[in-house]
Amino acid sequence: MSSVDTAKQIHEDVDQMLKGLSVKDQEIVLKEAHNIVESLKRIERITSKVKAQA
Amino acid sequence: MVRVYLELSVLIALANPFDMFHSRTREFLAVIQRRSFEQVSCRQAVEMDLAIGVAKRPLRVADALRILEAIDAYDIKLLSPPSRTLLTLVNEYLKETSLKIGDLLHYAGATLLDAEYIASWNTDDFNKRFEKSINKVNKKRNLKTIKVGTPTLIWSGYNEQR
Repeated sequence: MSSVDTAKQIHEDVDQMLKGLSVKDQEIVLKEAHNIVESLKRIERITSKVKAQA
Repeated sequence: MVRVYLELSVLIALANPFDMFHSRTREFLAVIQRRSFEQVSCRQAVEMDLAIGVAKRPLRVADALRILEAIDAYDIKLLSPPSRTLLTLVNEYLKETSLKIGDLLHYAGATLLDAEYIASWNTDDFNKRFEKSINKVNKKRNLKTIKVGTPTLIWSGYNEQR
């Protein structure tokens, strides 16, 4: 899948997720997305550290 | 300083050495960095894309992490306009265009971050026709108007203006 196809697919999925929600609920979804990305970063930091020590 | 907004397709291409736009994206960034352009993207739009991308599968966790690494490595600033303002503008755009909310988060992010250009390899959703619809709303709300194009077009357009 090219970068363009991937980006288009993701934007369609984002649309499906946010469409029909109030701005307040959309705001909550953005906040949760932020938390997911922060968790991914934390997992990466922990696994890299453990792998480096092994 | 000229601010260039990088949309998701550009970030994905940058992070993937096997992508057909990878080399051209790197060249574009090298050129605009030499000219002291500022490269930005909207934190909320990118985080939403990565979270949904991983949840719905087009992206693996490793892909999402690589994109974040590329953002750091190429000194792309992830900036956060107020979420309420961002979403209100997205909903205004929705009345004028047939674009998806995922695309509109980037258009609204670029507008609120005062970008001069929005760069995307996705010419179906980021093109002159949609630029016109977006700028119609921006003018009505006294917001900055933006120019939309591929990195290649933006660079050649910038050179022609000078």
